[in-house]
Amino acid sequence: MFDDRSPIYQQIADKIKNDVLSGELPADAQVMSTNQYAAFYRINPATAAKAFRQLIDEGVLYKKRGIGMFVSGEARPVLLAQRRERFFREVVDVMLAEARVLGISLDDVVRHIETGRGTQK
Amino acid sequence: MTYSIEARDLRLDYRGSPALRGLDFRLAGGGIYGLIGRNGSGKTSLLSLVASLMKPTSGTLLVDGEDPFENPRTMPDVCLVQDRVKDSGDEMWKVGGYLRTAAALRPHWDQEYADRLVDLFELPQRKRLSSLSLGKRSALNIVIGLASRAPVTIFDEAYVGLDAPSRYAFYDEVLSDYMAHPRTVIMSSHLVEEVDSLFEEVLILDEGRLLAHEDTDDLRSRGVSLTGPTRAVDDLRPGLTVLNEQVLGGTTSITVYGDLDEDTLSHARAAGVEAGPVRLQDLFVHLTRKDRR
Amino acid sequence: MTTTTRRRPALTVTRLVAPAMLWISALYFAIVIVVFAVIGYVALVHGEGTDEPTSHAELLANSSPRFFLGSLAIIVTSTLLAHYLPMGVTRHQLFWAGTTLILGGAAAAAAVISGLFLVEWFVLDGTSIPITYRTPHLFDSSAQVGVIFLEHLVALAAFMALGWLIGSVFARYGGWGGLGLLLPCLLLGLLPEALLGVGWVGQSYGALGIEPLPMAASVPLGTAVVAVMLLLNHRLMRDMPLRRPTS
Repeated sequence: MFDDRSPIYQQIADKIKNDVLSGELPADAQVMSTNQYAAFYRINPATAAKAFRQLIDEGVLYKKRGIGMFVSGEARPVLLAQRRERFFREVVDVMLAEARVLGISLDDVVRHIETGRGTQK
Repeated sequence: MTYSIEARDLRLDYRGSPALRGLDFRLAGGGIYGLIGRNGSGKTSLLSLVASLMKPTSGTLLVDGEDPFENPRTMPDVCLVQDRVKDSGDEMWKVGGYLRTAAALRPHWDQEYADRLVDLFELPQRKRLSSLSLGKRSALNIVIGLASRAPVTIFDEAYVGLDAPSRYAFYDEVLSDYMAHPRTVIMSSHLVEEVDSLFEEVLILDEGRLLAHEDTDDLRSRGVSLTGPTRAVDDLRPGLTVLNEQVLGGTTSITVYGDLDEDTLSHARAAGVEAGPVRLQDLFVHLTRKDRR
Repeated sequence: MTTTTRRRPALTVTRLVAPAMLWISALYFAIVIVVFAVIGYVALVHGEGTDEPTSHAELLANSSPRFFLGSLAIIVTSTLLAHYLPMGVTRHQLFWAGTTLILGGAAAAAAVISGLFLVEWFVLDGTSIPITYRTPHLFDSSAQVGVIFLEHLVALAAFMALGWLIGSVFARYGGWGGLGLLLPCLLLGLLPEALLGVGWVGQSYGALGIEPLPMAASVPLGTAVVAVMLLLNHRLMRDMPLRRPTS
């Protein structure tokens, strides 16, 4: 269910972020409570609470006292911007580094992507 | 109601040899705490002291700020469920009578919950304890531990004889009842990977000493496996405790325990080193390995 | 939610253990009463003319119940500790439960025995057979219910406290330690009967030419020795560990 490297709360936060990105959790939708999360994933509620605290700090979720936690309006655009930046840093840059090691020129890479896009269409 | 538990230089000699060699820790209370350690590491000794089954040889133990030994206020509020699948009076007790006895002696007993658990674990009320199967005997102990709603509830390898579905039913009950009625729960277990996500904090005992007491996530993130070219891996060693090492040709894989910052890690990745997760179970196995002592 | 029984764990434990003890004791008394009634009846019908002592209530009461109840008391410490300590009852509370069980048991048995003396007195009162005893007693008639009760209460309480003490000593010091301390325990346990000057011990007084103490002194002294044994039990139980394997 969870891989053991990154802390569980991180994984829960990522999961909720993914749901926000994919649109499964639209703006102002209510998310499950800490205890529901804990029971569902069989984890300590303090761990789940840590994930929610992080998401609130990052502005992904907001809290309505006594009611629960909801997806904030700016969550999706902010997350999209973050992910795009991360995509270039963690996917594209790493790919180019690998290409350099293998002696593949940037042009070859670009050409491959473009033909790939062609076949996809 | 939640009780804190505190130990200061806690020692216990058991049958002439030291079982606990000076423990210092504080559990704030109101959490699920994991106590892990190999056989003979002192887990049961420590838990027996908390439940006042024995008296410490020296040092201080406080439950809710008071010495628990012979303490008429705290003793009924500490419930220790042991891995006793056979006990001296099992022929005397029937399941129903045993439950009624616990109900009469535990101040926070919830009969409705007990009835629900008896159904869940399919316990036969009229059977004698001695005629119960291993799993049912454990389940009975667990029912008492849960329904007692004791401010300090301890499960010491309480799952002995339970099959996997019953074990998970047990974990789920512990978790949901803890959330509904917050209290201090201590679980000791060998099956670390089954329960570690339940723990807020983990204490690792080894040879009567406290090896680690940490937030579970922190502890988990301290263990990293590093695999890559031997030279690159060797560059990472300084400042880290290497728990395990494997070499295959020019590739070395080490399991380390310590704080690795993101910078060092990305440098290492650039040098061809892969950083992977270490399960808490493996961390525990490596930390308490005999040749490390 | 909290009831009065929950606030008084000693009483709760007593209430929980008493039925089992009562059942075993009732069964025992039913058997010995039938046996001694038959012996008494046979002696009454066929034994005329012999100068055997005639009280079969005394024959029943003099030793068997003391040994039976005394042996029963041996398991008090280990049973109470093993079952109720893990349920959160303190040793101190268990001591009071044990004391209540012991004194209550002794009182119940003494009452039954006094009743038997009285029944025998009713049966034999109309006949020409006088009631005679084998050993000295504080009473000289089977109709002195109060004195009979008192004598047996002290004697039975002494044996039960002795049994309990032996059990505690073995639980505390193990097999060899227990054996080593057995003799002093036994001497202490027999002391109340010796002070009262009744039973087989009292019988030897005549042969040795010792004058027994007056009742006003012997009963309080015997009671004091019982209290000492109970106190020793408390000391032994107070910090007794419940030994279980470590893991």
